[in-house]
Amino acid sequence: MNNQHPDSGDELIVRAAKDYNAPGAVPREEMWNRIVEARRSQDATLSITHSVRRTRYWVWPSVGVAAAGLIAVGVAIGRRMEQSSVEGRRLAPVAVIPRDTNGSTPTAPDARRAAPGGGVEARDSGVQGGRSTALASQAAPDDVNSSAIAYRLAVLDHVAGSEAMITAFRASAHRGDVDGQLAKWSRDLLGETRLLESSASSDDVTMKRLLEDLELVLAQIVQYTNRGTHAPDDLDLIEQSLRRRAVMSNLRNISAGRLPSGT
Amino acid sequence: MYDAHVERIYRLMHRMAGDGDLAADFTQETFIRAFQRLEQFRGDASLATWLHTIAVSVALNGMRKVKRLRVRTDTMDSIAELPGTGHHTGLTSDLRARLHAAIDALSEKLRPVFVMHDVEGYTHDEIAGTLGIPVGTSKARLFDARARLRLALAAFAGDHIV
Repeated sequence: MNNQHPDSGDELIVRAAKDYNAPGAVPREEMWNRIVEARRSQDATLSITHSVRRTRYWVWPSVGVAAAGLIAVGVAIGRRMEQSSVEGRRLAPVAVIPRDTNGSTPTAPDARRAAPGGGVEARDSGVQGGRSTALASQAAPDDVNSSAIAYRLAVLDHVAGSEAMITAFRASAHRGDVDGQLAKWSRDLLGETRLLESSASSDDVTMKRLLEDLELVLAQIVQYTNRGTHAPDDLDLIEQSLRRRAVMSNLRNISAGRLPSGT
Repeated sequence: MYDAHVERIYRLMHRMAGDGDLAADFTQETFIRAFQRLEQFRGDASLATWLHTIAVSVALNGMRKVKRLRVRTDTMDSIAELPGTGHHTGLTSDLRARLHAAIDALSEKLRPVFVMHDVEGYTHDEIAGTLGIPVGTSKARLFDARARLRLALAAFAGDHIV
């Protein structure tokens, strides 16, 4: 097969290199199952994904430059929307509440359904909650859209960083040399994950579930790095969490503009 | 497609990544992308070459992510600090350890060529097709990689290598 034969000096190198990173048994079935799972989720690609991908094409270069700031922007806008929702509740008396055919005031869930694109979600219940939700969602649809885009961009950036960190962590942990840099990285990502989760824009159930799964794994990694004992059992638990929720596949799917599996 | 190529792809991914989990991740990603882009496969190259091109790209990107915030401890400079210098006892294991560290430290251009040719036995035609480079470039990179490895091991193995 080789058409460039090594000289005598190279022969030793070639011989000694034969067991370089020697592979074991090929986990055919395990890999195939994950591929099928990923393919299934890929088939479920929806317009929401295409819109994210389109956005990524033109915004991505600038996103790369201001990656860290983007997360802050996404969360800040989310927080602002939440605040404006609260203010909306204070101004509730001026709102005009549409009545149904029976003339009754819609309840909070009805109002939530009426909000365009899922809008800003009311956190309280009852008539006042429904009133404020309708007001907030009618007041600033542009804000809601820009908030959703900023949030999604922030999540995309966060997902890429998380994937890189987990990949690096797995490689390091298997070699038994998890360093302080990785520990800090995982702590930062855990904090960002929680910020994104708590953002008011996180009304996307799929994304929220992914963030919850990610939070669990990151919390385990942070514990693992903090403990310093680096017990194999702890590492197994992390691997189990990653596998059970297909976290890596889902992170990659999001990065590639595909929906996570199980949606 | 999966059954026919998974073995070879996984082997190459493992050689590149040095870790079973990473190799499995890279292999999965390769096939996911291949299935996704199957319609774009024009038949200019063989299916195997096309798959290998995706695989090497996935592996290099993946390894870049791994290395991004890591400073490798086993660089060429540190190879000289490994135990066993000047001793001929335990030559094989020491030599292998040094060689493997030296292969790890090869550049992104040289390592895939060396691993594919000298470790996995791919031809220069296959490597050239996979990496999208001329056959002559593949040969030159292999020559360069071997020279660097010889240099890295010279102090240790003396007359055995140079």
